[in-house]
Amino acid sequence: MAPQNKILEEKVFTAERQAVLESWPTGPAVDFTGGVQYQLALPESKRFSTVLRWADKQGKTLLQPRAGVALLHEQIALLQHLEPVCDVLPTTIDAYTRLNRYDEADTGIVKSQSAGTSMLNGFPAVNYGLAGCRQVVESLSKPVQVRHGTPDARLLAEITLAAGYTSYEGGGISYNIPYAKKVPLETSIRHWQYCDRLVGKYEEEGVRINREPFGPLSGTLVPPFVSHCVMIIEGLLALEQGAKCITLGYGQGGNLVQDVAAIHSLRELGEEFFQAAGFDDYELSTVFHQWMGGFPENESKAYSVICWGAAAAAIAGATKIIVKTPHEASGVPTKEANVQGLQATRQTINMVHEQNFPFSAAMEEEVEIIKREVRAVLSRVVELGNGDLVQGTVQAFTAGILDIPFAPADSNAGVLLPVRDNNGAIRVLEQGAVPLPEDVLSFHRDRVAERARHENRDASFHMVVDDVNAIAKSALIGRPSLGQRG
Amino acid sequence: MALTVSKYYLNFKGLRGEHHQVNRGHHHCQYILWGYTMQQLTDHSLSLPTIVLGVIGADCHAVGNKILMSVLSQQGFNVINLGVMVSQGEFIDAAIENQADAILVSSIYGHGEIDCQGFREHCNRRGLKNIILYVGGNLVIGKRPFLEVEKLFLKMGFDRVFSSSVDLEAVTEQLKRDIAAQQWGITSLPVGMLYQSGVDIPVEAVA
Repeated sequence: MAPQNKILEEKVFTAERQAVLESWPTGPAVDFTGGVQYQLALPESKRFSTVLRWADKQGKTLLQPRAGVALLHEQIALLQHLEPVCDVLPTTIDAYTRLNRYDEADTGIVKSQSAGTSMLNGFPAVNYGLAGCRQVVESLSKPVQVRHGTPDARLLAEITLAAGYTSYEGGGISYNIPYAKKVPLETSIRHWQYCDRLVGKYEEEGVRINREPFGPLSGTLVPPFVSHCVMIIEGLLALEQGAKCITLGYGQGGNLVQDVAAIHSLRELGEEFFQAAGFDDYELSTVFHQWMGGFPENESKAYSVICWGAAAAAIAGATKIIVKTPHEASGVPTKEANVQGLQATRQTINMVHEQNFPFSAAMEEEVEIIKREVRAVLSRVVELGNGDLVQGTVQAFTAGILDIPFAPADSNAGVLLPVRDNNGAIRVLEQGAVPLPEDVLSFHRDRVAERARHENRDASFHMVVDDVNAIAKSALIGRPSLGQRG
Repeated sequence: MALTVSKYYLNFKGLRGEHHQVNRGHHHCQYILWGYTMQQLTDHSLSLPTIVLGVIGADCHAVGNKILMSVLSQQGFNVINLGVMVSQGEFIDAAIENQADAILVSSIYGHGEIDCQGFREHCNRRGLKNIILYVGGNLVIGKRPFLEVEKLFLKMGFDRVFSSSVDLEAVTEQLKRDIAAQQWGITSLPVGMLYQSGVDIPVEAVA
């Protein structure tokens, strides 16, 4: 039966739960009642929802790194090393686990033991099971969240939530389209309804688990309206299953005005759509991801990119910021590099938070454009679904109405093409089938044309490629004569 | 086929269709073979070198793959792009099916050291002996000196190893040279010698 945006029935959930827990030997140890008890006993200082609430109230921006290694004792040491310089902690899951390839994760653990260093790009939480994950949680005094990129995250959710993780990143779209090739959207959405329902069940027992849909998507020149549409859909799907604490995300684009407008519009649109759907007892927060594209290899230059993101997040008033490191061009950072990224971010955020940045007319204009774009696209999504959001979403991706640039999934059209304008803001170069209002399209066309005139070349895929490479070459905009900068 | 290579001679057609025969021992031979291959690559009416491209293992990084595809196609290669999350077996299947000259493996997520283990042996077992193997990206976990990483992957049997910051045009130029050397049985073109019009290129061992 095709999935619909309806709360999963108890008997359906229970039957499915049995299969999920049997899918790997560490599953059967998970006991929901035990998990609830453990969660209820956590101090509020270790609860994500509490800390997010406090941050929003105080106007603070919480710092969070990414961090995951193969061996349990090293994961604990890593997080304990990061804890003093951040506000909330992660456990970043390895890529094999994300595709449910737990046997390959096992091999990775063994190889890491003999190599004396982590050979995995994250922590294989399913392999360590409830006991191992609980050890991680016990070793910390701040809240910890599961961060990953997993189309089928059901077993991972069962284990980590029972273990005391109080926040769970991802969603049926945001953890499919950028993270998978052949997983049907209906399948991942349905699997994420399970995860959201599990969160809803914890909520019914008095345990509030935070849910964070993944904003940056492909992390490459994603126009704000595109990620906002996905965020709102995933937020609504989570709320429907009983989740009540939602953090909507956005990946830095690089143009300050656009980024500030993106965070403001994300929160406002979230409220608008959640309330229109009849929800009124949820908690909403925002998360800003520092630049998710290519980084300069030079570490000093990497710090600049990191701090620009820190400034944007602070000016925008994001509840939380996900922090990059000076090793980003090489991938997984050392724990020292991770600390350095956090320290640089903290410095910038502190200094920015001590001053007022008046909301400008330019920011207001960007907010209005984003809102009009999101409303236009989402109303079409709803239309396509004949009132059902899941079916609407699936149809919208098939029709290319929802289209995420540069994503690997077969179910993504990949026709929408973005490009920066002459100010570095991300605009639409090729619209594909995305139903934007005519005057908004003209706006995009004009801004792109202005850049083309300035550069004396046509706006084309070549220009987009230049933009993709620009920041690694020390510029925001991929000008034609970029070459090597000093 | 417009160019044939026999034990002693190269036979080929010139621009006006006239027939040429050159003794393979002649010191201009390399020059001619190289020039001919370059002509092949820029003239789409002749058969193009075929390469298989993809991102190995459980890696979902797709942006670089799309850009590589674009650059390689523009340079005249026939690209079989398998996209992301490609297994060793899938690379090899595609190479056999399309009679590929080279396989270009990308890896960005850090599991390259695990995913690429045994790839050369796998190719050999499936009958792809001596197929050109390139690997590029962030090939190990974390920041390690490139020479160390290169050594590791050369030892695994890759012909060339590239970091994620390499200029893609340089990669394609190198690939053209390696394919030309492979196709015409030239065991190696002199390292660092560029093809230039009118310049004698010393002949190395000709198979």
